[in-house]
Amino acid sequence: MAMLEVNNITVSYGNDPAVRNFSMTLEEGKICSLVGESGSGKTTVIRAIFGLLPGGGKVTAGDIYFEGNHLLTYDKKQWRKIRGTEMSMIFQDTGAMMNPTRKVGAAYAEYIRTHEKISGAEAARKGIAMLERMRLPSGDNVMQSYPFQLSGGMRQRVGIAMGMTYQPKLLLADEPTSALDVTTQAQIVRQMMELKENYGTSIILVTHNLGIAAYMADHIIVMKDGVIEDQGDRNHILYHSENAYTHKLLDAVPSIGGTRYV
Amino acid sequence: MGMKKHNFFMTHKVFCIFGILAILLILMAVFAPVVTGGVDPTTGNLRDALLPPGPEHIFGTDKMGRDIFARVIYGARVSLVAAFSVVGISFGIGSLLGVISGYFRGAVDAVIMRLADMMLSFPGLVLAMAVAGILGAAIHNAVLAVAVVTWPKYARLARSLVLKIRDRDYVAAAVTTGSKHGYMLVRYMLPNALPTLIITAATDIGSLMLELAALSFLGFGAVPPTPEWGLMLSEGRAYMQSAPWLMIFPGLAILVTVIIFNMLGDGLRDILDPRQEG
Amino acid sequence: MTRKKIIIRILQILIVLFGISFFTFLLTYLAPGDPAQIMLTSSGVMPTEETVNALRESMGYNDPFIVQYFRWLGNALHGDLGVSFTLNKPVTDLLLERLWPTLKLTLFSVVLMLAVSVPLGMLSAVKENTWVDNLVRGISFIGVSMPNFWIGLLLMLLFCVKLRIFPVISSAGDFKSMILPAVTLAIAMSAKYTRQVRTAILEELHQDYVIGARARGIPERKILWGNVFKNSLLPLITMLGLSIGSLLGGTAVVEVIFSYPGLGSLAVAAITANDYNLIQGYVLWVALIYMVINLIVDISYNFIDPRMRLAR
Repeated sequence: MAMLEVNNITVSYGNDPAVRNFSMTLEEGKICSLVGESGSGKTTVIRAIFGLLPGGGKVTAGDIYFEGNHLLTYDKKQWRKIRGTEMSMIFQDTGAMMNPTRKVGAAYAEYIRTHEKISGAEAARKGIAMLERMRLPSGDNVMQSYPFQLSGGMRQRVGIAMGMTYQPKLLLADEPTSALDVTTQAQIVRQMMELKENYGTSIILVTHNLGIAAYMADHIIVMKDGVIEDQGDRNHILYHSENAYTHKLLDAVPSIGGTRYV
Repeated sequence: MGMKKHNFFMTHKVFCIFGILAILLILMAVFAPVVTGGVDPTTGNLRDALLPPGPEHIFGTDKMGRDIFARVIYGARVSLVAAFSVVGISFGIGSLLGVISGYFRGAVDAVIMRLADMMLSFPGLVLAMAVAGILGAAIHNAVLAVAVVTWPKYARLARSLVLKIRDRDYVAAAVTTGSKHGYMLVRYMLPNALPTLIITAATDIGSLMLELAALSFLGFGAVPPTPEWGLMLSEGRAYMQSAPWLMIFPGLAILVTVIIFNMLGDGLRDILDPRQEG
Repeated sequence: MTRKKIIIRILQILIVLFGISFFTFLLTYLAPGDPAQIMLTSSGVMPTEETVNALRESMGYNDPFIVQYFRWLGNALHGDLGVSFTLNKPVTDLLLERLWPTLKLTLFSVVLMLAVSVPLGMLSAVKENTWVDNLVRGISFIGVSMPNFWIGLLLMLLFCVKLRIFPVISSAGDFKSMILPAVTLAIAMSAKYTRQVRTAILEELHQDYVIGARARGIPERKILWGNVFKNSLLPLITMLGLSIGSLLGGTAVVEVIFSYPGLGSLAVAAITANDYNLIQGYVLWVALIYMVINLIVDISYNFIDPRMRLAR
């Protein structure tokens, strides 16, 4: 069995199916990207995998297996064990996902101490070490800051650092670079590629930018209106796809100096 | 056509149900003589004083022998008229002042807002008590007093709503094309500010009714022999031991009325602005 | 809040106090009734035309309005608020002797209210849209729609008359006499406050950072108490401050029902008897307290929300 298996799921909010007949598998150390416009259902899919669907959302058909475990049967306790340890999620704006009235260090230490019985000082040390590994040299400074005091790029690095603290098998990334400027985007993208190299982490990357998806992913799934429109590896999507929608998305990728960022 | 009406009812159940109840309440007050079967709420036979609820007097009688049921029904007239008056005055004057304040800014704004702040730096009942008490006990004085204390809320609200709209582009556009003040006020400011203001007014009816009742209870509002619920509670207080029904029914009347109007206000809010949370 | 801002606020308070006292003075001046006559009748003297005129002269009631007002203001700044002519005591003394009972009642009511509304409000928010939530909301709704004096009367009927647990007249000002008035006030306030707690907590619960914390595997209890609760304190403390300010002004209605010797019943007596000096003094006191408490609440924001502190 593959590390992650999603079999023909339908996700509904009340009576409204937002995603239908979605399937995918993911092996260890591979990167898969879900590409599509807003409303295509790509975020719904990874939220469903993570068990974090917002109010009223439910997987109404199909199943999801992670390392052989049937995720849809998981209760709150089981989820608490694997979230942040075996499976992590990083978001479009990490800053918004942290309590604005608490320092980064407090949130990070709280997270670490949830999964390990260590002191506050030790947790802080661990956090700083992780931040530095993620190219945030003044880790201590970052820990002492509030989220709104950090730049967008720094916040995303914090997010990745926190997400990778326990070297999860699977990292779910929901538009991690969409809120960043182009230069910072490139840095973050490169950093995420390193994760795969250094830790063997599998990544599911959700993005609306086909260019980034093509750069990072081994397998790309194009989504539209809640269903899979097209899928394949980089080669197929970029050069051999017959799908009209895929072509639309390709045309939308901004190019610098005539060459596409691939 | 019938389908449309049906849908409106289903999606706005609360508003419709309590709207109907409110209308029934108002009708009951208007047709009080009919509902009470011609009984006079202000006179009574001393021989029939302090009778417990029974077949002749379903709510009993008070110390003057007056039928409490009749007094409760006629009391609805007083309470409803007074409450609507207060809301009407505060809403009208407050909103107007607020819109003027927010639109013209400058000295006008400063004066009106200082005035409003002065009124707001006070728990409402205290000032209302002082005003009503000094002016003398009468229902219209109580109405005036509560209105004096309540208009700042509408002024503040109207002003902030106007300020929000004022800075929008289409307003600037209208100004450059030479639209006159009056036109601007009516065409742009008012329609945007009205829904929130109306919701506030509707949800206020209930609480203002309570304040008016409190004033009458303390003796600063309605005077005997007027059948007013707050006053009746005050009158009934002395007979708590021997005739508790004097106290229970007027209180219930207030409770039911306020519930109906509070629910109506909530229902109205759901219609006009479903974004806001209760 | 910087020192400068605090000073500005204090100045604003003084201006408002000035305005309010002026307004009240104006009202009492315009009101029907002759203060000299009232003074004489309440001290048991038959008011003849000469005595009334003589008194008016000596009290300065024939002077123009502005003169009278500034005379009063000048005295007030020295702590002399005049003498109550119905009770024949200096106003300041009367206010002070009723202050302690009012403080006690306020404290007791607030403690009761918090003990009820905070847990209920939180429970209601956490279990949003379940039967627990609906039950709490329903009860709060009814509580808010009830006149608080009716609650007091019903409690009195039940506990004083029928069950004879408490005395009907609680003028002693001791603990036992405080229970029913405090419970009455607490019930009315809890109904309102529970809803506000619920709203404040729900707003926080719907924030993104709660989702972020869940994504990191943090248990719900920690999210609620360590993060959500602290963040919702801001609006809650504001309302608490307003409630306390209101209570300290005396809760006329409840005090009248239970004959509790607080500032509220003093006010009612003063207004009913047209005791202008006492009314002036009372209004001044209430305005002062209310605004001082608001100021304290605003200053406390500093310590609660770091964003306020750092966004200079």
